[in-house]
Amino acid sequence: MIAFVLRRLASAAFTMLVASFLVFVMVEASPGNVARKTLGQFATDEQVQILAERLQLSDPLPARYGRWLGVIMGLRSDPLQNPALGLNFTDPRGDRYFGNFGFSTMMKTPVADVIWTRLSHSATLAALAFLTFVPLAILLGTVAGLHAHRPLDRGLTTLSTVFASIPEFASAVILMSIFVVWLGWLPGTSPLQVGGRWSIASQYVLPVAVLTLYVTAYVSRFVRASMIEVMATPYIRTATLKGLSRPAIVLRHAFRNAMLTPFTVILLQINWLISGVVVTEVVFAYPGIGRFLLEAALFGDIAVIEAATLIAVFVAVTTQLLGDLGYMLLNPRIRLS
Amino acid sequence: MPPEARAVLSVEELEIRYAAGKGDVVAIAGTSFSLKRGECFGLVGESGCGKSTIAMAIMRCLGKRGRISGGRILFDGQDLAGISAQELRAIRGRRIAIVYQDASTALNPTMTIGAQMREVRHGENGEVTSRERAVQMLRAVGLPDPEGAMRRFPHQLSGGQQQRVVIAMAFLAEPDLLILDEPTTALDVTVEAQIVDLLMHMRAVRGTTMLFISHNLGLVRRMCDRVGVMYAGQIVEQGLTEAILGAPRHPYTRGLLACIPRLDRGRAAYRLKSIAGRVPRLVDLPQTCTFIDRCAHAQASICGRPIAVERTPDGSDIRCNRWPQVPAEEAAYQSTSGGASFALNAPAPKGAAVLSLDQVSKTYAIGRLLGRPIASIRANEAVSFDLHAGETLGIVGESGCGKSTLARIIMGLEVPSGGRITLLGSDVTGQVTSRRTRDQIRNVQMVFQNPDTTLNPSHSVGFILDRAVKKLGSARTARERQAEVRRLLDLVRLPHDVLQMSAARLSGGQKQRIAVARAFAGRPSLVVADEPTSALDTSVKTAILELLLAAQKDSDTALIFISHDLSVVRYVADRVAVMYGGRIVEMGEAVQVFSPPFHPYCEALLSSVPGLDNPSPARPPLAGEVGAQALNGQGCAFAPRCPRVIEGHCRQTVPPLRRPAAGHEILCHHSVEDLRGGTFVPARNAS
Amino acid sequence: MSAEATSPLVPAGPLAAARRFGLHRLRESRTLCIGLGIIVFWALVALLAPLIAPSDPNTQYMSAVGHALPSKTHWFGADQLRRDIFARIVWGARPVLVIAPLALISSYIIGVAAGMTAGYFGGWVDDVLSRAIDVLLSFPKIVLYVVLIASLGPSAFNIMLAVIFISSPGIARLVRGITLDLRTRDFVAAARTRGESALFIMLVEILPNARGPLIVDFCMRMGYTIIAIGVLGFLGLGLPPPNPDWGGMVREATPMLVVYPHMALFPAAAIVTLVMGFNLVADGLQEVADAS
Repeated sequence: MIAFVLRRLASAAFTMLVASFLVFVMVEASPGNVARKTLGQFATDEQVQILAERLQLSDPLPARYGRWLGVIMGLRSDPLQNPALGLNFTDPRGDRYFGNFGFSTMMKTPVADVIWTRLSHSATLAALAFLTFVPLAILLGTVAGLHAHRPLDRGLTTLSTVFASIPEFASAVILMSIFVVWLGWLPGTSPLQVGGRWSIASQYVLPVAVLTLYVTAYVSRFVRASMIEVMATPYIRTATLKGLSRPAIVLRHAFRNAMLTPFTVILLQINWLISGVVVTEVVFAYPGIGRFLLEAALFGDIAVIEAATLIAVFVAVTTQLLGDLGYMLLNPRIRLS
Repeated sequence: MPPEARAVLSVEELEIRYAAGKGDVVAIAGTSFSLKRGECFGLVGESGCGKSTIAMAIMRCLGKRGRISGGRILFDGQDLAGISAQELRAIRGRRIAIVYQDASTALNPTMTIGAQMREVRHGENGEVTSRERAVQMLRAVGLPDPEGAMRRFPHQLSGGQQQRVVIAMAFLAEPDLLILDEPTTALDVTVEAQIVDLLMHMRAVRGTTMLFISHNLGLVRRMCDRVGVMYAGQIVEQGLTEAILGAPRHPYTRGLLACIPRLDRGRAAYRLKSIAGRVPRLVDLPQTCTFIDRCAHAQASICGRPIAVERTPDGSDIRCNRWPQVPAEEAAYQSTSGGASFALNAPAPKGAAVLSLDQVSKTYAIGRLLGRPIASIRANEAVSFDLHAGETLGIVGESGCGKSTLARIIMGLEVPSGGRITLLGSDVTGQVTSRRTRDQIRNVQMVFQNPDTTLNPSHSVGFILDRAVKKLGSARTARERQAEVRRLLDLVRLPHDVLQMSAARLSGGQKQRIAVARAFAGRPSLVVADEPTSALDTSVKTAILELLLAAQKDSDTALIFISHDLSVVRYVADRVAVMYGGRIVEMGEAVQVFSPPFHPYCEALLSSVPGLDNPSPARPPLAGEVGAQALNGQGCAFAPRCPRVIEGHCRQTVPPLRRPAAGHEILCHHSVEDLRGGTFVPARNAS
Repeated sequence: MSAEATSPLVPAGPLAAARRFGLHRLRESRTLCIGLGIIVFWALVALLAPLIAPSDPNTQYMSAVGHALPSKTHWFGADQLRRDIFARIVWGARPVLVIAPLALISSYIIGVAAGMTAGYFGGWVDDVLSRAIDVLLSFPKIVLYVVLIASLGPSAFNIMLAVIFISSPGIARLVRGITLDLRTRDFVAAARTRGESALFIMLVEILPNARGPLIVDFCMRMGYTIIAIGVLGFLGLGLPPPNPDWGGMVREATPMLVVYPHMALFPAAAIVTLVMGFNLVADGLQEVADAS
């Protein structure tokens, strides 16, 4: 079991490493591009040329990746902070610390100054959505699964197909048309500013609802399928023929087994939630990391793109790891082998 | 009426239908039987004849599509068809318990054995089972370390132990009726013998009334007082076990019995007969005899009308209008058709060996850490034999003995870890199939066990055979290939119109016929048949066996016939090898292997088989099971289970090869004289 | 003996092919019928766009000033640049229904090749491929889309490249799983003992048996790809303006939502119905497969 945990840890670390390389390649593959984006669109070609030379951007990709990773890990000093470059990039934390994502050209501050607040906002949003959709999806899926092929199940299944077909931006537009434009019950944006007409809580309702709709529909289908499968197994028949009551069969025998498959699916949804968060934040002008990433992408802010992507992958890989370990604890077949 | 005389269960004219598409399918078409207190009644028949449906109907567990459409099921005088859900719950598990075929799926994988045991309620008021009672029962069914087992999960127990737990769970409630639905079918022969022993012991101690459902006539003969033979949803013949299985009258019962190979003699002495055709699917209650299309005695005028149940002189009930004439007619056929078909395959001329194995071994690594195996399992160890043209070698052993690995090595699907394989005079050791020459590939072909995966369900029969002829045969042009495909179909006696059919739509027997045809497409020198009949019903099995042997004779092919079924091997094989723990422990002519001196394992196997000619075992069943334990290669692999083990010797040193007669080899520390005892002799301190 | 062979013959020819893909089961599933109906509807709209909305979707109607709401001349109203929304939705069906299937078919070619290779050969080939798949799947999809399109630049071709890059790993993992299962079947062993090449075994023995789950997966992925293309448009990383692009239309209309919700709702509805069509087909096919 310890060997299993260690193996999973090692593989998560490896995935993270390769993913970071991929991020680096996607963003910084062309050297001229990097210097140009650092200096902004008004710099002359000559200035770009000089910066590229000073930053040794013509070195082979792996060498540049090594230096880049060194800066992030706090092992090397950030070359951009070198006063000789004349970029005026200074960081109160110094030029060498763990989590040094460099300078945001868009915000004109070190990335570390702005990204963590944004991340915490996004984490709150994702956590609220998670806490809403998990019980909802399990409840709806279980109910549908236990009434398989009967009218209640058919209704729920049709509903979930419909909701699983509505992308977040579309459901946002639809919900806003109803609750903001028509009924006027809720705010149309969620900038998390206090003192306006709308409380912070009311600002969370629509973003959470938008994030929850699709995921609930998607996950409840897995729960339903798993419940149907488990209810058809011989050991449920054993329990029935033991004379157990139906609630006892469902709660004691079926539920735990039926949750095994959806458990991994639910944890995988974190990955999905991060994607959904990007869209939702853009729609509602929510000050999270997803909107930050999009703004950076449209602006060409290399440091922020890299930082936000790395953090997103890190969260995804970590939840995947936690999911695997949790599955192991849930399933005695794996735990005790 | 005194309670002792009243039937515990009485099924009266039971009729069960399943909703299927537009109409109904009749699963049980008017069946009656009853069980007196303390009796064991057997229901036998082939798959799809309705045995399990009856069990599920008694438990009122027919699913959404099934319903009882007529008749009654009286349990202790109460009609089960009409009781409320609450009354039903009080009966299920408490007064009627059931043991299933596959214990590994019948237990909840995420609950401990203890938790599952303690759910059973017993007694008048439905008391919850106490911990002590559960432990006591686990001890009673012979589970090692019952205290510890309570805390374990099902996957931590072996298959035999899981079945013991299910049996313990059934007996906990002290039920009035215990239904056993193929309780040993998923188990190995020696473990089956243990479970049968346990069931008979529990019955003797507790006097439980049992309904025993099985396709295995030998088992039924060992377990049951009375037996009913089912065919197409009806009991065609029922009565005392001795009467039904000893002197059957119904043509179907007689047919079934004629399909079962014997342990005491080989193919030279008799021939098996298969029953042509298949079980009909009833869309309504039958107005004729259901066996009419497959029966050799059928006469349209007599059998083509409703059949009444009649009583025979020995007290059996029979559903046949011509039963008085059947035995005499059959005797007449036999005297006219005997003779020629009993001719033996000529003894194989001993030319150069087709295949020769020399000290072949195969080791698998389990788990790897930094590229090095943590441990290894020996699948095969020092396996040697020669095989000549036209000869049949039977390989027997229980699951995990290495027989299938050996087949895969011979086929080039696996590479041996050591030893030498010579095929048609050239060394093919270490050559997987793709490295072999076209001629070597053509000359070695295989028939697989599972009819459902042996043919690609996406292909048509025509494509499958044409491809085999193209890759293996000598035909060049499309026309020649077509002729060859037709020859193959004739060889396995299938009509030519199956060529257009998708392989997925064939029956199990038909699939296996195509598999045989495919293997013989290039007139191979060697065919390896790995359990080719073990997934088939009794009546189909025989046909495939005969077909395989005919095809073998046709091409003078050497045949390796792998099976767990001793009696089938006895029937087909010239020579037999018995495997245990990856080694051949005994090998010789069939007659030699099936008569003393025996290897202790072989002896145990033979007494475990519930053959019709072997109704009661000579001695207690072999303890333990073949585990997945890594074998250390030293000592005798069978020593941990051997009743004749010499402590301090057998486990430490490799046993010598004894040669009681020319061509007969036994791998054992005991001397030939010791082994010749035939029955169990206490171990002596042999040197 | 021949009595065993009495089951009905499968008809040969095109009918048999239709049967193989379950088309004769259309009647058995209403879900499947409705889904196919929706897809066919949108395919016809895209194909017949010049007939349905003959005018250029980028024409600005000065007459529509103050008449943004749906009217007799502009069925779905006009947008903020006074262009006819109906025409833009009709023409907007074209890029989606070209990019999504083309990109997805390419993804399938790559994913099936990689997945079958990994699953069939195993060993180090599998190790390397599976690792690569794991890494690519660990990225949240929209994040990956944003980063890729931001560095490649938004264009129809780059969107296709991104879809291929992001969809293939998931397909490869699915195919690998199916292959691992199918390669243990006896018919594969039979093919090997017959001396068939690895390529023959993968393409002729294994692949046809994977078609059921793959077709269902294809439909679900079509739905998701259409969503992804819509999201890219919505985020401003879709087809460059003024091309009619459903996601982009929603983006442009969002600021006007309080006044003219219909400007966003019509293109949103277009995406939702098309996605739903594919999801219903996936559901229906699954239903039919479960029933048999």
